[in-house]
Amino acid sequence: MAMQTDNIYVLPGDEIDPAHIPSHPKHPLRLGPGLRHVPPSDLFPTIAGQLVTDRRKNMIWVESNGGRYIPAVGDLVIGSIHHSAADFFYVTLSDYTSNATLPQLAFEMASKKNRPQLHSGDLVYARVSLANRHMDPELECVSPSTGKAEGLGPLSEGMLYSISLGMARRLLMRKSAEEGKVVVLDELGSAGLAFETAVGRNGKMWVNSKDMKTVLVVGRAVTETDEKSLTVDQQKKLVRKLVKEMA
Amino acid sequence: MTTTTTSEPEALLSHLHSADGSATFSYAGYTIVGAVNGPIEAQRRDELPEEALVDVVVRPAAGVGGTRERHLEGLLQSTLRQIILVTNFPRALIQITLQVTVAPENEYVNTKVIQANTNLPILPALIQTAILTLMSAAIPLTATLTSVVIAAIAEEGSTREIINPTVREVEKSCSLHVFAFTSHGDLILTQSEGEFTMKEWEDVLASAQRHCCPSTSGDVNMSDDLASGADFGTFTRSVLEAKIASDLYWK
Amino acid sequence: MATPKSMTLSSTTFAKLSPHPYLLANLQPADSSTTPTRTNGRQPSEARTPYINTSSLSHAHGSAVVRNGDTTVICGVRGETILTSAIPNYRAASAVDNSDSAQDEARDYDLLVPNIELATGCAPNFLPGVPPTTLAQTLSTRVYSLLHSSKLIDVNRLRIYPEEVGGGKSTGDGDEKMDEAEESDEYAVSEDKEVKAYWVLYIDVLFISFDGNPFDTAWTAILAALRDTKLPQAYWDADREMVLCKRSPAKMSRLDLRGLPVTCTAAVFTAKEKQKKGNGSYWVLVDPDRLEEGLCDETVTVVVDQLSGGTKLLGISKHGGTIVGPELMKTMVATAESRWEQIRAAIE
Repeated sequence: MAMQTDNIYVLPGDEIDPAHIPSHPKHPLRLGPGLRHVPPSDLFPTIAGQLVTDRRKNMIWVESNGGRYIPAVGDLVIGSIHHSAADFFYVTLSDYTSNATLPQLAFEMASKKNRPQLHSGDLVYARVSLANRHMDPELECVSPSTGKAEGLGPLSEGMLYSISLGMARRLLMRKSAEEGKVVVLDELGSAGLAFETAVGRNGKMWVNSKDMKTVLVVGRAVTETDEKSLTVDQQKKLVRKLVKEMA
Repeated sequence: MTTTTTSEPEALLSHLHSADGSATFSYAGYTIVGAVNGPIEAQRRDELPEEALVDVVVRPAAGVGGTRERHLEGLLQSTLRQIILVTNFPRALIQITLQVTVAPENEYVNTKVIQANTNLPILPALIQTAILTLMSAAIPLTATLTSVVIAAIAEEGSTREIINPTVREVEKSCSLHVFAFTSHGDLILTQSEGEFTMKEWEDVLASAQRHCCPSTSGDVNMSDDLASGADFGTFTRSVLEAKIASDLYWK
Repeated sequence: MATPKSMTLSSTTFAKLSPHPYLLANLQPADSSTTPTRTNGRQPSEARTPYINTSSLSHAHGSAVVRNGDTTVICGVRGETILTSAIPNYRAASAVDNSDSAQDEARDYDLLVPNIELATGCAPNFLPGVPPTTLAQTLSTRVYSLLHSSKLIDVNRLRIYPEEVGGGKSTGDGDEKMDEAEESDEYAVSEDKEVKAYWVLYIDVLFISFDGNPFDTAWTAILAALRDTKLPQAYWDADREMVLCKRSPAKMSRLDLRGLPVTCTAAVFTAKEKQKKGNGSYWVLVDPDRLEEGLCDETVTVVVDQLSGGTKLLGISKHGGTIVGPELMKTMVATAESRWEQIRAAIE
């Protein structure tokens, strides 16, 4: 549970009050996004946002919503295949950025003889395996330790929605209802709709269902929650309204 | 003696959906829409191996950009490059587009239309829009900027300083100065034209410093300027705080 | 065939491979007995000596060639006349001419048209025959702004009036008198004397070779060329409804320039190659050459005029960094003052 030091807003280059920087006897201080360490011991925010600290894990970062997705190792992303070459698929994570590479063998059970056939425009759910500012990012659709897909791989059918980076992060939270305050998906599920979703950290959400209407309702519910900044109660109301319209 | 105009700056953040960051800023008769895209892929011939390329495009309220806009772009580019952490995104491009939508050109003096014929008065508005837009796009910066334009008008042997002058006051002024400071209080840009002495320049610089970075100048008696709402530093902070608070409403 | 004694690089190779450490090594010699110098052999605050040659173009009304180290520039000034009836936004000045609305005819009617051409093959980075580069456009704007903000050219000199009655068809002696009458009666007759046409000055600057500091060199050339400019005596002929010029070369008269504004540019070289916070050592390099300009982010330009005794500042421009503050600006102005002496000596 992140410790809340009542809403501290920072702008780039602001001084951070040393009292807000967590100090833990054992763990080293971990810096999250939006902070820059200037040796020897200065810490500056680089983006405008809310300063958040987690004293238990000795972490500090700046929370903000917006901007372009910048790949980081371990992120789950939804990409679309741009083109494929001998050994790689080239995958677009966001518009106008250089393509990420996805080795054709980085799929579950893939071998030289048996590799997935993906075409331009197909979607994949993948994990960022290498992100380095000097190189194009690399993706994988298989866990390197277990060799299992663990839910990653090509996404067939369904619809892709664009959502804000902040919304994507909230949906990806382990307890998205309590910490992220998004309940639309849970509510839609308990309203009896059957659908599956995949959320990419790069601001993409994929929805699939046997019923096309369900896909549209789920997509609309999430994008509306995102754009109109709906609270938990408003989300519940929205879901009730959408389900009623559907019936 | 220092006087200020009393119009309030206004800003709207992240209102363009296809751009990574956007802002509309209005102040002193100017309205400028800014959009930032980046880091995106740079053209092969333009890319820099060690840092991001910062590209600034200024488009005037009417017509296409000319030499005047190229000059403004050059000034903005070299200034913004200093505060953007360009080394974080080698080979990438950060594109900043600033479209002027309203410019105070239609003021009449003696039934003659006054054209804003100098480049300087628009600079602070452009800088402010660029900063808001960059923050909206969450581009990592080392600092923010505040900027001000001051006209010095000769009056009965003494010079009067006018912060954010009108077009007409610019016409009457004997010298015109633009200053931009980083949030650390460093002077990052200055453009002065007209006729002045070193002493006058230093005086104007001191007023600009008081106006732009009240915290670092150590001057407590700032109630006049702050009350006028023209202090861009405070303004930027309040706009951004409102924006962050609404973005993170779920927190 | 020469055998290399060791694996050291020649200084030109070093300069090409890693220009920043090369310049730094020159400014910060390891051996304290060597005085720190720039790679071009100059001291940090030492400008190149300018050489100026005027009236080299026979068909321009005024011209100058300025050589500042390896930066060479040629500037030609040509006058053309424009009728006030041909100016779309023309408004007669006399009706509302109070001091409150300082009417700037030169700016309103675009009577000064500077243009700077870099695409002459003057340096490897400017390809010949391409549209104007950003630098060329920026320079044109800066020159244009300075021409107007310094009020260098007296607009009176660009106005063309109807011919004085009785003075026109007479001998040279009579013309002489008319000139004087025109000068002294300027204000007395201004009520009924109407501006019929203006001189438009086309100021073209061509870079022949480029080795840094384009603005200072271009401005020096413009200044020298304008000082050299002689316009024929022109008058409005009411019968033929056109502007005529007196043919005799003796009737050519110089533009009277107001002052002698001189620009002085310096670039700030920092020891750190990448932008970093913290105050490393830095050098202010006056009159930078092409190599130095490529390595510096921050530049300062100061425009001074000392013709009327004390130092008058006509412009300050600084961008691209945070090193130059009020204190350094003072030393920059002092440098500009000595540069002013140097340019004046070369120009006169």
